[in-house]
Amino acid sequence: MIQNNPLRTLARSTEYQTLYNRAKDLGFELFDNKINLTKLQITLLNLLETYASLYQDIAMGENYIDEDVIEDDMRCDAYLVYKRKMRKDKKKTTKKQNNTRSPSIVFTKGRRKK
Amino acid sequence: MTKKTKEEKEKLSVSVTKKLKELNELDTVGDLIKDNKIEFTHKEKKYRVRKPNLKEKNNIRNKTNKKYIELLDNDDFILREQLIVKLKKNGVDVDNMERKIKGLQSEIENVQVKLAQISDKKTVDILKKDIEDLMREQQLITIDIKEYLEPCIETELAEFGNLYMIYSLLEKEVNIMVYNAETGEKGKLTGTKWIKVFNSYDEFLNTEEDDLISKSAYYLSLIIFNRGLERDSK
Repeated sequence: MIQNNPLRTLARSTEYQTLYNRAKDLGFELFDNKINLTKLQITLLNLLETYASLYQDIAMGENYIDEDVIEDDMRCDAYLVYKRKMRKDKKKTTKKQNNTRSPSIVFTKGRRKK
Repeated sequence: MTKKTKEEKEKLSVSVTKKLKELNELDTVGDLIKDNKIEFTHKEKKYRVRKPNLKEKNNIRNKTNKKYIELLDNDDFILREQLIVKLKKNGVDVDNMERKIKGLQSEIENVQVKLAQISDKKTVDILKKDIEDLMREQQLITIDIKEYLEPCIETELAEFGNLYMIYSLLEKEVNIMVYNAETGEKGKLTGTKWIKVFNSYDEFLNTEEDDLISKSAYYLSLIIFNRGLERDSK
């Protein structure tokens, strides 16, 4: 694993985060080429999106995420794995709750009135 | 103002150098992502590699397909799956090695989940080291698998594809000079243009410019998603 990967440093920087958000809002291009993006450009776009969501998590007061975690690539990856696991667990629980096989309305066989 | 001790100065110098290096790296990364071409200098000459256009992609794909058919007819090479069976008969279980990699990945993720919920520095450092150790173990197995599977058709094909891509996409900058027919004066610079470095694939294969090819492979690996290129660039 590359610690302090320069592409990640760029993606989490205020400058690039602002550019990325403004680019989305105002519709300008981040790169000179509009199509045929390179591997680095696609990776940077993914990272920008990831860090944008992490900054949003901080703003929302989520547990286990702060500026220190964002600055540390390993802790940041750990948080992302943790978040993914929590989401998966939640999905499983919801599925289980929805799959109790007990009908919401119970029909009982009543005697016909004579 | 208090005078800094030698030790403090050294510390400061290291941190400033580190920061400057970081800034430099960021500038380079900025240059690398601004468009889909990467320019670099080799022996004081300007070169570049770029993302292939549709026509070039088609051409590379056609050449690779042709090579694949050739390799299938060549008795010196066998397919990855056949090689895995042969290796198993000789006591090397690639499938098991791949299972180990997956198992290690689960272990890594378990430690990561713990790490995410910890902020105590000492424990953070211990867990980080655990992750690094597991990753190193994973990398060693990956390298072993790569070495065992080196003589298969798929590896040979990836190698060919990488080389053909470098041949097709490596360009050099040349000056455009004009001759004045009236005065007979020659060599007036009017601009520059990019041309292919090698006129034929054979010329490319016979070149002794190994450094140039390694650099090109590295830069192309930043442009194109291709695992083979990343391996070649090391």
